[in-house]
Amino acid sequence: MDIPGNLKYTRSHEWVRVDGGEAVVGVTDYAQHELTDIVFVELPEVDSEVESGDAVCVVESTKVASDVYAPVSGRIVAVNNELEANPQLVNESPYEKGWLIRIALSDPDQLDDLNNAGEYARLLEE
Amino acid sequence: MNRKTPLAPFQQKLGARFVAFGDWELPVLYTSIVEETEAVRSKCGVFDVSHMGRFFVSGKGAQENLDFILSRDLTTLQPGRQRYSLLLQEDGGILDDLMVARISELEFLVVVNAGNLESDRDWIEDHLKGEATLVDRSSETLMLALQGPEAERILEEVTGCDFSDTRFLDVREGVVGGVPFIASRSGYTGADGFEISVPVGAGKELWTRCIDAGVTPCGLGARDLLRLEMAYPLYGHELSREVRPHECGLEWALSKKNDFIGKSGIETYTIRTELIGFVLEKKSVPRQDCPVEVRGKEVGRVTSGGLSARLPNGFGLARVSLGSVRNHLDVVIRGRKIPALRVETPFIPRK
Repeated sequence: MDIPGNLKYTRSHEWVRVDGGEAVVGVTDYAQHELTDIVFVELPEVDSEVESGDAVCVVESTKVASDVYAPVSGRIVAVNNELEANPQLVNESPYEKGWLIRIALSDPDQLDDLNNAGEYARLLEE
Repeated sequence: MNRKTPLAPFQQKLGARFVAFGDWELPVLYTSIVEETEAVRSKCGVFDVSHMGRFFVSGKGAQENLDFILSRDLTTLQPGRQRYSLLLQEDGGILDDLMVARISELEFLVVVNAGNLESDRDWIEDHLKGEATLVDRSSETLMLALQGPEAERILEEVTGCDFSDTRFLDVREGVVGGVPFIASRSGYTGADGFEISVPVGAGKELWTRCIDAGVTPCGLGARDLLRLEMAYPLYGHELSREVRPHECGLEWALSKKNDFIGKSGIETYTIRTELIGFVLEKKSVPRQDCPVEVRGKEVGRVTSGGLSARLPNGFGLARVSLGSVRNHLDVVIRGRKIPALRVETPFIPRK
């Protein structure tokens, strides 16, 4: 199970890469593996405001639809339009090509509430 | 603790992901549902369907008994042939759908859904009269479904038996490693293929030979998507005790001449619903129980839904009030109304 050390993680299997005042968000390798073939991704509107904990995306596999939760609050500044035609990028490259949304942080302190790689790895073992 | 079939250790080694299915734990996929459905449509896949029920009904009067107990006319079912049938209760409600194969003059193999195994067995046994008997060989046998354009070649390769002269729904007995098996040219995928009932030991050998021959192991996820592409009904989704055959497009599975359990119930029943096929006009995935609306009014529910590489958008079957859907409908998915079009089924052509 791939858990890059430079990212932050939530209990609900989202990852966050901090880039200046913005957070890039996706789902972890563990999540994509559980979901299996992702066939469809529903992304939020650019410029919408989200609160930490809001269900912002839906990732659908042939088995089930799964909500993705905003790990931090802010404004959606970009969504990964590649996923419209190539939803399988989330399976193939969950941390890079399969990114979901980019949020302009309204409260950078929220990043401290997220888990680091080691903490996330321990969560997976529970 | 859920039951597993005898092939579970082999399946674990192949990386199968198991899921709870009634009393059972069965592979839902090995690599991916998308890859497995693609393998069946283009080459060959193998499914372990051993969890299904296999009953041998035999003896004097077997045909007459089954002809009455099952909905389908069996008087013209020749040895070496198989038919689809329904099992109905007296009011015409559907207890199960099944396949009945005539092995010989006095011997039939009835294959039923795993979820209804005990109730079907009890029902049939309770209604057998005279000398006909039922023997449940479900636990003594395995059942493999070999499905895909290369199925015939593979079956011949792994058994050394000739199946080139078999037609769809033919039933042929063969021998593999000295052990007899029964193969019917049939399946639940719409692809060419065979369903093979075989004693457990030889069944394990047959599975191994299929995998070694390069056949793709396929799980329940692929099985469900493939049958949905063909609009084949699934018990618990399109079929239940609450619906009648005419409400499922299955009037053809009813005997026209002979009496059968449920016939009078059907005749006195007023049909209220119908099954329709639909394709979404926007990318989304419909699921069982999604409401179906026409001009803002709920007219029914999705019974089965999915998304396939072979169709542009999500698709599925819905049970709606009779005559309520002409062309356009909306499927409500997670609170959003997604426009859809009613379509003829199957969704893709059968091979």
